[in-house]
Amino acid sequence: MTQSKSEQELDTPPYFKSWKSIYMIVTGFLVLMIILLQLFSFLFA
Amino acid sequence: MNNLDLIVLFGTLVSIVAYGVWKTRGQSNIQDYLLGNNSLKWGTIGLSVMATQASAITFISTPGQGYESGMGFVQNYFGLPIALIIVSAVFIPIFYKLKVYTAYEFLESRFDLKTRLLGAVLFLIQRGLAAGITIYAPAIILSSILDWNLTLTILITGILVIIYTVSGGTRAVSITQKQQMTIIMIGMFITFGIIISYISDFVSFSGALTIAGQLDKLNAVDLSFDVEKRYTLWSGLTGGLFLALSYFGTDQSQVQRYLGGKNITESRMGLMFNAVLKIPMQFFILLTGVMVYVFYMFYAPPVHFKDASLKQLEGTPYQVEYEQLNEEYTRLLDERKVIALSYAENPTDLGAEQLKAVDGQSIEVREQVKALIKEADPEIETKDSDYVFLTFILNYLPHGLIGLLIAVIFSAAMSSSSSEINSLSSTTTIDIYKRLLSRVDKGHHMMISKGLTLLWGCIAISFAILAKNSENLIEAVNIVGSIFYGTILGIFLVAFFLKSVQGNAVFWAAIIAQIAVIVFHFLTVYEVITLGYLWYNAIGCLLTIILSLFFQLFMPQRARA
Repeated sequence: MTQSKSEQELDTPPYFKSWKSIYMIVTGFLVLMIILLQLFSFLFA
Repeated sequence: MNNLDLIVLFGTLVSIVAYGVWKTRGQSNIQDYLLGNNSLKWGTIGLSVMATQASAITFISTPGQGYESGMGFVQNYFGLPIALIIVSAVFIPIFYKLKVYTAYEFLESRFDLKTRLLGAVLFLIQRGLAAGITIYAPAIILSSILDWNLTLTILITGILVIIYTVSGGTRAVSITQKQQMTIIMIGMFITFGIIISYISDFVSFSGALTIAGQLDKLNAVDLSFDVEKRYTLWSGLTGGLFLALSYFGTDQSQVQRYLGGKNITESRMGLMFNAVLKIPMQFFILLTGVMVYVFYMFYAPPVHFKDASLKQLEGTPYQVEYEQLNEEYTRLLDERKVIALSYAENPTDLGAEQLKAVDGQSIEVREQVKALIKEADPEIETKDSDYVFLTFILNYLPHGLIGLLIAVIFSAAMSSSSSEINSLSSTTTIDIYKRLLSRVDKGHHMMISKGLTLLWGCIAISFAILAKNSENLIEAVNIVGSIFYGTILGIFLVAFFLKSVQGNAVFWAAIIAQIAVIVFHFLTVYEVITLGYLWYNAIGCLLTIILSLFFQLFMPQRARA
């Protein structure tokens, strides 16, 4: 299941060094969304 | 709807179909047809994945859900970004490495032919039924509210989809979905702006949010651990993850969208696009529904949104009682409007309590009307939330825009069903025809695939037309989907994460798990046990995994080729 070197070179995400960074950002964004939605609920409750 | 609306509606739909056919003309081989010659960029993939998931019901029912129950439904999508990360990190590299056309091809290289066929057949049954409902569900609502012929509405949707899906295959599906999503988002943003402009004649946007908040419509996150509550943060993160993983990772209607990418990076980026945008998009659609609720604080709503149901009461002994309830409802709405205006100007605890009380009374009257309809005709469906948004569109949007919004609903129906028909054809061509009957492509596989797309399109239309005789068919098909989904996901999870398990173990585990789920279903139908059908997914998946491990203990390990 490991990728060859050339495949890895082709499979680099734009603007970031690795996919791990993108996944961290997406997870961080999810956490941020949940916090913002919780604040939204709290603000108008 | 007037002539301008019809011109906008049919102009939009015909343009999208013509564009799809024109842009994909001259395809010459099966790879062009099923994988779009691997030419799609992440933006197109992202919108295509989004459009496949967002069916017409999303744009009809979700605002209705916001209107009725507030923002809580958004939590259902909290597991989706995590599922997409797993699909991107684990599923996509393997699918690309094996250069597969369908997800089920991977099962043969990992296990054996029989497991691949099992996965493909389970998918064909489940998705084949769902394709009919994707066309039928919006058609029944549109035909009822616009007074159109139901069969004709189904035929228009189905034939338009068949034209470009047969003609251009996966690429036509993806590029038309890009246009359809653009129309959908423009239509929804304009509608939201118009709702706010109507409301601002009475209160500011912030005032509208304050009123909605007091009526418990803005509770987007529920941290409680109450398992009886349908939507909480925890059920969204666990159940939502499970559902999204099975849908995006093993359902060919989604897998085919991202396998058409120019390369693995484009496919992964397309999924990450959805991981970021899906929750804000659902939030926005639900908020639109909540704002429609606030709008109806100041513009009197009907006591029941489904006109056809109210007509059942005419000339019956229930009519007098209905008229009394309607009068009471009108009085409560007047009272609610005065209190809402005063509360928006000067928010006090007393004002909030009065608003909640009178709003609760108006909801109570709505429920009494529903009970009356049910008494008059026990067979009738009294849920009217699906009609809320369309009633608003038809009564309060300017002509031209009404046509555009109806085009939005049709576009959403077409985008989902084209993906379904396209994936059904791919699976039948690759996993059944090519694998079992004709392994060498003598240039005829593309024609076979086109023929199968036409066949599946006709099956979907026929099923949608037959469905009109059954009110409960939508639920029945959801149940059928849940019966099969868990087993398919279980097979894929074993394939990816349990390296020691081999073909025979997982095949028999899946067969037994599938039989067990069917038994659970019949025990539920005959009221021996009480089990919500969503649990079938978890039972099927877990049983497949546990039984695979158990059977593998007693089966000899075969050396891999």
